Amino acid sequence: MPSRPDLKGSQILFKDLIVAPEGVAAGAAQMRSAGRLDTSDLSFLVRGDERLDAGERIDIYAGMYFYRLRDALAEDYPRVVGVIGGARFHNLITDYLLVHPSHTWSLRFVGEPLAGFIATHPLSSEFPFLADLARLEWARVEAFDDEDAAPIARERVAGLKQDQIANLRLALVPACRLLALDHAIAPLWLALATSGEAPASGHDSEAAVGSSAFEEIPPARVAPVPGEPSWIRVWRHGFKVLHRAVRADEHACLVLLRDTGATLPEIGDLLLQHAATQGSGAALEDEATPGIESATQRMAGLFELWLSEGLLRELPQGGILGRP
Amino acid sequence: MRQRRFLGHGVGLRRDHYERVLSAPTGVDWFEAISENFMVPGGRPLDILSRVRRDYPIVLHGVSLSIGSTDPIDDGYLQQLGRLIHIIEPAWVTDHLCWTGVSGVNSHDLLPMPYTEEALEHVVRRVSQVQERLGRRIGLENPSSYLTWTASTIAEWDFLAAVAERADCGIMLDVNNVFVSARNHRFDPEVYIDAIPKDRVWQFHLAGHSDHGTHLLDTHDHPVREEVWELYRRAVRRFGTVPTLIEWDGNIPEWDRLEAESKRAREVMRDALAA
Repeated sequence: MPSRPDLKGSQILFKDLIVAPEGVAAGAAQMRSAGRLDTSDLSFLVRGDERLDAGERIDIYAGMYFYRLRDALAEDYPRVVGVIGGARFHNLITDYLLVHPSHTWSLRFVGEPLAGFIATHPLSSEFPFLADLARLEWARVEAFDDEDAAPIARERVAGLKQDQIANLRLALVPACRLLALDHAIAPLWLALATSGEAPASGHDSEAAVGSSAFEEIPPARVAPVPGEPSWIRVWRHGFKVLHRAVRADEHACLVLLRDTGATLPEIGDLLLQHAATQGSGAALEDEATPGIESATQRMAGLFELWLSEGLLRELPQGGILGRP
Repeated sequence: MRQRRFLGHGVGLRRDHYERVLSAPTGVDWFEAISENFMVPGGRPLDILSRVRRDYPIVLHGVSLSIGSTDPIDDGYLQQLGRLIHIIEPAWVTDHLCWTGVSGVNSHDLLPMPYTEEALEHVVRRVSQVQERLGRRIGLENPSSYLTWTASTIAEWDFLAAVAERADCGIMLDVNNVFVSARNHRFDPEVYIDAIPKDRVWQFHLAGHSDHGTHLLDTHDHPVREEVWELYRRAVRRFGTVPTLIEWDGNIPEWDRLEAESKRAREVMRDALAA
């Protein structure tokens, strides 16, 4: 019988067995080949009986490890599941967890690197837009429970003189994410409407989990997704997570507001600069083409929109941008 | 150590019932919230929990403390938990006598401890550290388990009792878990109940499990089984009026069904105490 490891050694061995992608028996065999184990018989670690041998008992935990993570990720990425179907999502997550096992205490954060992983995964050859779709889904997850901050109220602005408005130092509320994508994802997101917009929180549970009919979820039929630059802002208004496709100039303004904060004149300058380098702006994807606008008109329109959608917060005069 | 105050009969606060719980009075006395689901910067989850807290006592029940792990205690986790405790002011805080990961990898599962002297000393030391860091005692729940470590030399109930006594912490006694583990490891669940020190038990859990033939799985997706109600009667007779909570995490029923399960716990406790 091999020597029994101490507590730390036992935990490391057990962990390595339950994360083995081909199951505990295959994992043990691999460890034996690698010289980590003297035997593939795991009874030196765990007691078996006539109902379940040692490996089968560890396998119960191995199954729960994978299914719990897969199901949490499927909840965060329902439209990615919709596009590729349950079976391929299952395999994607098998590959993903080998590279990105969870290093955090909450299931809430397990999916953070998935979009980047998809971009490097062979699935991206068949679905070039999949990583962008995942970026949008993750941005919505992040906005759902990011910090609260009161957006600047219309009444506050209405009570100010023009020069005071021009001096307002503005920033984005924390629960806002800006995406610059390589595909026009917004229409696809709508086309893939899921049964519910469940909030992306509340994964953690102490209940055991098991396999389900998840792998039978069929892939959706999706129209071709144009490979063209697109920009999306995701934000939380009250407790509702929203997103909107925006033009490149609005995206540039929002990046400035996010990164350093800005006054309206600074926004106006950026719009002017953008118009000069880009020519006339393209239409918002959900609006008719507005034609060529002056930077001032454009700024006024955007400011009004951002105010009404609760995107802006006010920074103290001379203050630096930081979390409220 | 004296038992904690009797909160009455509660249920786990789950997303499916937020609207119902906030819209009208309910027939339950208190709620238990999974701590990690509310350890977030802001947004709806924290708002919901804060609103529920205005009307009900809340117990924070964690799944990620990983008290038995040989990794260092995650100070960031404790900091976040401390922030939530400050906001919610829970009646008490509990987690599990288990480990969830090692070498920086989290399984997000409640992995069983080997019940050895080495593990006992390790857990006692860490419970003391956590209690000092949080500035309060914590309660530890007995998890369901599907395996026994070959190295184990101490019965689970003796291990749990020893941790509670030596670290001066509470016990969150999950009656369903006692039943599930008893079946899986062929011990007498009544021996377990009878070995737990009376004055350490802060709270009971009741839940449903599923039978997989070779083993029972603690799935929380069924009503409480009759055999578990029977064991609960015994626990009530031994420990008295201990706050009792129904957990239901899968196939979550309509609110009225969940409330009825809590009502049954109330009736079983009343009858057991009268008998």
